[in-house]
This record gives sequence, structure tokens and C-alpha cells, in this order.
Amino acid sequence: MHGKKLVYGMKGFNKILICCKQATYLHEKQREGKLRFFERMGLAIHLLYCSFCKLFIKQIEQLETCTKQYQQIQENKNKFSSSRKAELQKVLNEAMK
Amino acid sequence: MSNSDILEPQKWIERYADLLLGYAYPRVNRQDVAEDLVQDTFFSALKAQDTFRQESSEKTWLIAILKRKIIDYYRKKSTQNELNVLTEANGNDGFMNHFFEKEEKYDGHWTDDSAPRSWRKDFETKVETDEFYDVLRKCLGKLPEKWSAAFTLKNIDGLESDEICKELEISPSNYWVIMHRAKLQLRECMEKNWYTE
Repeated sequence: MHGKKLVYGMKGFNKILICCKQATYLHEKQREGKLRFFERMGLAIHLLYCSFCKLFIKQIEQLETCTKQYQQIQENKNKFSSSRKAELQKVLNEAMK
Repeated sequence: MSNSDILEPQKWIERYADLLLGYAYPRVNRQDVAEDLVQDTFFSALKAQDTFRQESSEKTWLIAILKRKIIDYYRKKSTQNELNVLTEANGNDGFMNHFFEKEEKYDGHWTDDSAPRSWRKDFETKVETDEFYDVLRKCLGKLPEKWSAAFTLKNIDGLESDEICKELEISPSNYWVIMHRAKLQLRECMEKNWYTE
């Protein structure tokens, strides 16, 4: 009985120690609250000691913020050339006839 | 009032062409593609004037049509091949082996070349420059279409994973793998081209 319990315990322990590859994979799922118990624990423990993965997550978050800003900037920046616009108007007029 | 009284197609280009282009461009990252999508939007709208409901404005209606066009573009552009390699979350393929050591031998740790480094201190003051956004656009452009589509839908349109799966016609497990890989590649590209001095 006792031995069996110990084996189960070890199984859980193995699941809890995850590597950088898994940690960076689980990060996205974690943000949507889609981790199982062991995965959640595993990621939290990994991030306690792994400075690379902590840095990875921080930098990804910075890049995501930049991507949002990029979109806002582009929305006001990109324009049709006046010749392209005239051309477009012409074909659209044709289609409206 | 019928729709023909409310919609003014002859004024669409003057009023909305640049606005729609601004919407499309950061989502596809290519000027020619964005222009084509806007043109298609006007043509589709012209044909679909009956579907216009007066509760929405002309502008909102046109943007809704453009949104569908962008999604269709994402779907068409990505090939099945891109997805075939993506069935395994932690696959030991060339892509993953570039970033991580093999699990059996070295515990899946970052490889020496790919481990994240601290970025230069001044980046926060520099990120708003045109050069920065050029690099970001190029790095996004280097991702396989479906990856950048997923990344864009999440970070620009703010969609959740299940909506993105539906729009891109991918499975949830494909989605998590795609996001993992997209983030690895994008971060590395930015580090190499911008953040290290």
C-alpha cells in the first residue's frame, strides 16, 4: 500500500519538473487559464528559478504591446496614391453602371 | 427608405479608401495585398447592398466586409504543409532543435545560441521610431502565414484562442504549437535585428 502511494507521488513529481521548452509552450495556455493542475504548478516552479524563461515572457509581453502600437500607427499612415485612387474610382464607376 | 438612399457608393473611395487601407495593412503587412483587399471590399459591397442593415453605419458595414476578406486571405495563404509539422507540441524537428536542447540529453534547456539575452536599455525610448516598426514588420513578415495570422488576430484584434481556431480553421492543439513557435521566432528575429547593439 505504502509503496504504491510513493510511486504515484513520484509520478506527480516528474510531471512538475518541466523544461524550458515546455515552459515556453505552456505560457500561452496559462494566459487563457487553460492549464491542468500539474502544468500550472510546473510552470510556476520553473519560473522561480529559470531566468531565461522569465526574460522570454517579459520580452514577449513587450513585443505584444509594440504590435498593438504598430497597428495604431499604421492605421493613420498608409494611404493610397492619388493615381491609384483615381484608377480605383474608375473601375468602381464602371461596376456601378 | 431603401438602402440605395443611404449608401453612397460613388463617395466610398473618397471617404473610406484610406481608412480601409489603414485597417488592412498592419494585418497583412503588404501594401499590394492590402490595396487589393480594399478594392475587393468595394466590389463585394457594391454587389451586396441589399444586405446592408440601417442599424449600422456605412463605415462599420464596409469594415465588416473587409474583415471577412482578411480572414479569407489568411485561410487561402496558408498551406496544409505548414500544419503537418505542427502536430506535436514539443516535436524534435529542426525548428525546435535550434531553440532547445533535446530533452533526453540536456533536459530541453535553451541552446546557447538561442537563450534570450537582456535587451539594450534604451529600447523603450526607441521603440516608437519608424526603424523599429520596420524591423517588427519584417520579422512578422518572416513568420509562416498562418503563424503571423494567429499572432495578429490575437494581438491586434484581441481574439481568444477558440475564435482564432475557428477563423483559421485549425485545431486547438495546432494553435498552441503555432503560438509557441511564432513567439520563439519573432523574439529571436527582433533580438538579432534590433535589440542587441
